[in-house]
Parts: sequence; structure tokens; C-alpha cells
Amino acid sequence: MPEAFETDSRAGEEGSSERRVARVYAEALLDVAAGRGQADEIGREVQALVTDVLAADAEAERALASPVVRRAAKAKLLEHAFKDKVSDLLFNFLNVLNSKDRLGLLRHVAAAFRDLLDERAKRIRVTVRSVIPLTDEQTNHLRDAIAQATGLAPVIAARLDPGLLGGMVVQVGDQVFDSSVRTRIDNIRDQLLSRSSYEIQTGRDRFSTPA
Amino acid sequence: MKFKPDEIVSVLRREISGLGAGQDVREVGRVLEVGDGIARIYGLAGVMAGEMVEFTSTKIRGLAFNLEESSVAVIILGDYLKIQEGDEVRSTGELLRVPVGDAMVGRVVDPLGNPLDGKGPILATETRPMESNAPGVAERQPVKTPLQTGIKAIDAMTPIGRGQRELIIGDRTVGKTAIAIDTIINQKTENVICVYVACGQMQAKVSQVVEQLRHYGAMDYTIVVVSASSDPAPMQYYAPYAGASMAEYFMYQGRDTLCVYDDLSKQAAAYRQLSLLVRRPPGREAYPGDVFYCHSRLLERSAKLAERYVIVPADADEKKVQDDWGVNDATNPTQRRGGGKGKVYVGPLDRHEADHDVKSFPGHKIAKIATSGGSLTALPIVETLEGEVSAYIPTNVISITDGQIYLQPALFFAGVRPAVDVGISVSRVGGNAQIPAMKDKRVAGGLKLTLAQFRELEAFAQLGTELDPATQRQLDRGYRMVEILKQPQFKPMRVIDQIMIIYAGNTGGLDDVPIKQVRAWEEQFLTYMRDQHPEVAELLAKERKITDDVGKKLDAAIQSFRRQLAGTSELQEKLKRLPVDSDEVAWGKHAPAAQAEFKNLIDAVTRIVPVDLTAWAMTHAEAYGPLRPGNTSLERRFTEPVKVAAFLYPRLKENPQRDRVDVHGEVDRVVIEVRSTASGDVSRRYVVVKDTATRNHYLYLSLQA
Repeated sequence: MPEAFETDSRAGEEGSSERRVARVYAEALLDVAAGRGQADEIGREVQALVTDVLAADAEAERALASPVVRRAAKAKLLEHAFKDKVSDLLFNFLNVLNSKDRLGLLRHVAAAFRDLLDERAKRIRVTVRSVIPLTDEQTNHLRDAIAQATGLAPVIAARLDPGLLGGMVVQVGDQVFDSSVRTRIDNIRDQLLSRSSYEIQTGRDRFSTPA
Repeated sequence: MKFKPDEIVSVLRREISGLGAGQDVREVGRVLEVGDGIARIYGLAGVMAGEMVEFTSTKIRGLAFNLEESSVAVIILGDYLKIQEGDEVRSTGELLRVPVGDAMVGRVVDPLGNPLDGKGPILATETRPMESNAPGVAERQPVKTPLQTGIKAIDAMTPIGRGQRELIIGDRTVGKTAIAIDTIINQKTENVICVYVACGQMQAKVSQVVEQLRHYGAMDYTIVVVSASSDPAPMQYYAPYAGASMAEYFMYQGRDTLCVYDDLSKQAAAYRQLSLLVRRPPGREAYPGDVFYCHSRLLERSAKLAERYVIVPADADEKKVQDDWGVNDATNPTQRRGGGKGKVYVGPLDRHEADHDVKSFPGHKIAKIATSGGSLTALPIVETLEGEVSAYIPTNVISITDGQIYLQPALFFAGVRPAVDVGISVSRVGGNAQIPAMKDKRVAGGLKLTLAQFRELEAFAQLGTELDPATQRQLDRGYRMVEILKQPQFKPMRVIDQIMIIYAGNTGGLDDVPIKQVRAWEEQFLTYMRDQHPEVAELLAKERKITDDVGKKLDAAIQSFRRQLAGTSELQEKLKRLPVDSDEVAWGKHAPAAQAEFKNLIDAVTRIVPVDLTAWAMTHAEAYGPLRPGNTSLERRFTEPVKVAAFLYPRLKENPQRDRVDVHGEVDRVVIEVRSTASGDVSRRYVVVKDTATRNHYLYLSLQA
């Protein structure tokens, strides 16, 4: 179920310094996990931690991220909450984050971990927006097409977007293939505006006759 | 006005059917953070440095400025406050371009070419990339044609050639912009397209400059590119490049152009701001490492392009000649070409070859390719702080340019304007471009040295030591030369006039003129040369150098002017005294009334509105008789109102019994009627009018009984 990794958050993208730091932690975690052959398992655990635990209890997330709460207090909290409930590796990792005051990066680490897993597994994330849900046949067709074009295994996240009016928008990495009716209408509007204003300016009396 | 809906509908249909149903493929990224005119974008992995990007939701454009490992720093060319984190950004695959062409001339635009003058949209059909490579070595030729600034101190001592880059440098408010503006105004008759780039200037100052250019008719051939100090830093950074592109277009059309960058120190500050915001490492004075390159690549675009020639049939139209018109073969120039390329001769060296080759083709001639031989002259301006020429940006730009005009605050406040410091102002290539007459030893040849020696002597003389006559003479000459080199703003001067006055000064024509009257002398001298000896200027313009003949004629003219001036001033003195002193004796009790009348006369003459003399004389012939010059018994020309009165007065008061004198001051004339006391009849009538063209007063005797 690779689709389970997809979240609405754009977290995990690099750029800001937080995200760069998170990627370092994620790489370290993945290396250890891969060494023990638990990469996918840890990936699911980290993702569940973010989507199920942190999302369910915003209070807990704030407490963990807060610099006001002391490290020792957080360590105790982690021990009570996670000891023996998650894998040892993840528990240790949380403690490492805590000892460096980096628990606030959990979401970013989760996203970076997911991206790294994708990279290792030669997967590519594809976002598809359409007005009506795609049928299985259509999804498979799309998957085949993208796999052929990129040489990577596409992970398709489909989303509904009534604003498109019709057609669909496929984003593969940074490339956007847009065949939506909305974009086409916008293009027509822009072209008409620029063309007609140019025509009007060049021949001001073309559309009218003197009274 | 009546619409034709059918036609509109058909046009719309055609447009819509022409739009393909094709897919819109684009590369996108998302805004991570935005502020201070800079946006940091994640994504856009394939974007190229300098490529334009578009913020999809607001249609604002930006430019990929810094490509980093995992993000792109984009400078925003528009209102960055409308852009939000998470906005989509798409690449456009285009470079930044500006509209160029004849439609731009006379307009005030921003660095992207959008009009700012409220005169409606600009219908430019062509664009040029804002950054383009400078012409290479082979495409250029040495600077050899002068670009006359119309300013004596510059044309004489730091001459500027077409294609040169001459820096104007000095503290704030010492007249840097004034020199540039005068130069633009002086191009009116020179067929040079001018671009004035205001970069980081006050809006008020820019509008003043535009108004001045318009007032002196210079907007007819000028483009003004404005990025005011309130505009975002990217606009200020790009303004000079935009101006250069607009000028370049004309250069590649074979036209001569002039581009003023006012000023580059503010552009450097804008570039520093951008660079620091995208976290490029700061260097000296916190400028980024490539600030030198930023200026050098801009100024390197100034060039004098080589003239290219082809051999064409003798009846070919010279104005349309193109590269592929050559009739002879490129590899074997004495043979007629078959299917291959025609021979194109580039530059002065090839020209000699062409002279030889054309002999093999009777009935053919050598023609210049119409779009070759254009030039772009750059006048960058740099502001210094407290005369600190060795600061970072000034030294950079000095080393890039072909010379500098240094303006000295001390001179400026001492009244020497333009305040050109002759000692450290140089022109490295302009000397070749000076016309030979100006370069002559008797004109500007030794002027720089003379003035340098004078400055030294002047300092020495201030100690109050006794000076030998030779030194004193040198000092006196120096004071007068300094005075001659002064010039008011908006009064650019023809180079021929400059040569004549400098020649007069250098050959001692002004040695006995009091220093305070030197400028009046100059003005009168040039008027005299224009009116009485136009043949000297004509000969000088034809010969372009001081031949023996020209020298003799000039000497003679100066001498005769000096004699005439001495004559008139003597007469003037005498006349001035008349009504007060001798008349008092002659007229006794009538003297106070006479003085009042004299004053009245001066007032009336001063107030006259100038008219076109010939037309005026025609319409008033009935009332005052034929007034055309040469038709009356008395007809005189005066440069000042007081002289009219001084000349007229003694003639009015010929007899002590006093005729009655009526002075009628009209709008465009003064009529003076002299009536005899006995009969009351008008015995004489004078008319004074002022001419629009010469600004002189003309006096006619219109009636004598």
C-alpha cells in the first residue's frame, strides 16, 4: 500500500534549513533500518506515528516540540508512551531526537524518510487531479504510461478537484502535464486578450466605421 | 462610431479555432519563502540561470537568480507582497526581454519597457534580450568619430568619441547629470538616438530631467528608462541593461546611439541588496564578488561597430545594401561568385582590399552595408562620497571605462561650472576622435598643460610674492582660459564656436579684457562672428583644421572685433554721461524732466515683446512706412535696451528750446515722436522693435519732415 504514505502536507520537500536537517536524521534512521532489514516496517511506523498519533493529539505534538518542556521530562514522557509499544529502533531514534532537541522535526523526518524510501525503491510520486474519480482501468493505463516514460514505478495519488471543470492534471516530480479544461479556458482568455488588444491598438478604426 | 459585430464574431471564431487542444506541459515549483523582492522556490529542477519564471496565480514574473542545491532563488519583477508561501511557480523557457524599436523613442518607460508617461501603450514589434553578449573584437573598429557634447571643457580636453565609454564621476550635486543632459540636448542635429537611464533616482528629479529634455526638444530622439529609488531593487539592478538593449537595437541598425547610466553606484547598491538577500558571500564594502563583472559586461556592450562593405553594381541603392549583395566570390574575390557566398569586407583594413578588388569589376562600386558601422557611446555616472575616488565602485568603473570626467566640488562652489577637474580627467581614446582643428596647438592642443601650470602658479601667487611679468602674463592668461571654459547649463555650443573662442583666448585676444567681462566678451564675439564673418566658421567647418588661411582670417576677425568693441564702449561711455552732465548745463531747468524721459524710454524699450522682423515690417508698412532693413535712412541694431536709449537720446534733444518728445510704448514696439514746440507738428518719428531670432533691438527712422 504505497499510497498510504501520501499526505496532503508538502512536508519533506527540501529547501528550508529544518527540512535539510530532518533529511540528515531520516538518512541515518534509514541506514540503520535497512541494515537490520526493517526499512519498510520502520517507514510504516514513522508514518503511523505522524498520521495517527500526532494528528490525533495536537497537544502531545506541541509538548514534544516545545523548548519549554525540559529534555528529562520529555524522555520520561517518551518512555511511558512508546516503550515496548513501538520497535526498539524507533524508540531509540525518538530518544536521540530528544537529546538533540529535535523532536519538533518529526513530521519533516517522516516525510524525508518516505522520500528516501521512494528513491531507494525507484518509485516516483505522481499526483493526479481530476473532476470525476478515475476508474481502475484508467489508473492502470496512466501508471503504465508514466512507468514507460520515466523508467520508475509510479505511486499514484488521485485527488478530486472540481475546479478543473474537466480533463485532468498529472504532476510527475516537477513536471506538470495539464490537460484540464480550466487551464485551456485560461489560455484562450489570455491569448484573446493579448491578441485583440494588440489588434485594437494597431488598427484603431478596424472594428468601426465613422458615424 | 458604429460596431460591426459580424466582423468581431468572425475574428473571435478564427482565434478560438486556431487554439490547439494541446496539452499544457510545464515545469513547476512552489514558493518556500518570500520577502524583500526575493522568493525561494522548491522544485523547478530544470530551470536555467537567468530564465524567466511565472507565479501562476498572480501572473507576476520573476527571474531565476541563484540556483542552489535544492532550491532556486528568484528575484521578483513586480509586487512581491501578492505572492504567498506555497504558490505555484512555473518556468517559461524565456530570457528576460525588453521591447525595442522606433516606437520606444520619445517615451518614458520602466526597465521592462512598460510606459510610464501616460501616452498609451507602446506598439513595439520587436524585442531584445535584456542581457546580450558584447560585440567581439572582429566586429569592432577603433573609435574615431567625435561625439560632441557641446561643452567646451569636455570637447576641448576630454573629448568623447562615438563608441567610447566615458565615466562622469563626482560628489552629489556637482553637476554630473547636467553634463549628461547637455550632451543629450546637443545631439539634436547629430542624428544620435539617446537613452537616459535613471537608476535609483528621486522621482522628482527624473520628472525634472524629462521636462528639461522635452523643453529643449530632445525627447524627439530620446528614450528615458526610469527605475526610481522607491522601485524594487531588481528593477534598479536591471534598468541599465534594459537601456543598453534599447540603444543596442539602433546600434545594430547602423545608427549612432548614446546611453547615459545615471547612476551606477546606486545600481551597484541595488545589486548588493539582491546578492545579500540570496546569501551570496559579501566581499569588499559588502558588494558581491561579481560586482565588477556586473558593470564590465554592461559597459562592454558599448562599441563602435566596424563598417562592412560589399562590391555591388553601380546603380544599387546604397541605403538598402545587405550582406548578401556582394557580386564577387568570398574565397576568390577577383572572380564573380557562383552559388557561394559573396565577399564582405569588414573594417578599414579590408576596405583597402576592396579598393583593389573593385578594379576587376568595371561598372561596380563599393557600398557600405546599411546596418553596419553603428555605435553605442556610454556615459556612466558614478557618485563618490567626499571625493573618495579610491572607493570600490569608483575604482572598478574607472578601470572599465575609457576615461573619466571628474567633477570637483571645490571648483563647483567657486563658480567654475562645469566643475571639470582638468588634472585627473582623461579620455583614453577620444583624442583620435577630436577634429584636427580642436587638436591644434593654438586651440585645445596645449590647453590641458597650460591649465595645469596655471593651477600651480595660482597656488604660488596666493602667497603674495612679487611676480615677474612673464609669470604674471601666464597667470592672467590662465584666469581668462578658466573663464572661457565656464558654460551655463542648457547652452551646448557648436564645436566650431568652441574652437573660435578657445583660439581667441589662446592667442591672447582676451588678455586685456577684465576677467568679469570675459563671458560677455565671448558672447558678443560669437554673435559678431556669426553676423559679420560667417565665412570664417564656414571655412573652418569645411577644412576641419586651422590652416594658415583660417588662422589669418580668425586673427583678422578677432582684431576687428576688438576695435569695434573698443569703439562702441567708448561711445557708450560718452552717451551714458550725456543726459546727466553736459545736458544739465545745456538745458538748465529742463534737465530733471529730460532725465525722467530718458528713464521712461529705457523702460519702454525693455518691455518690448520680440517679433519676427520681416513679417512685422510688412504688416506695419502702411503706418510707419517701409521698414525693411536697408530701406530707411537710419537703421541700427542694438544688443541691449539701454544702448537704444543712449544712442537715441542725444538725437532727440538737439535743440535746447526742447522739442516735445512723446514715447508710446506698445506691446511689440516703441514709437517716439518728436514735435516742434512752435507748430506742434511731428517732425521726426522713430520706431524701435525687437527681433525674435537675434533678440536684438532695431531702430528705424520712420518719418522725417
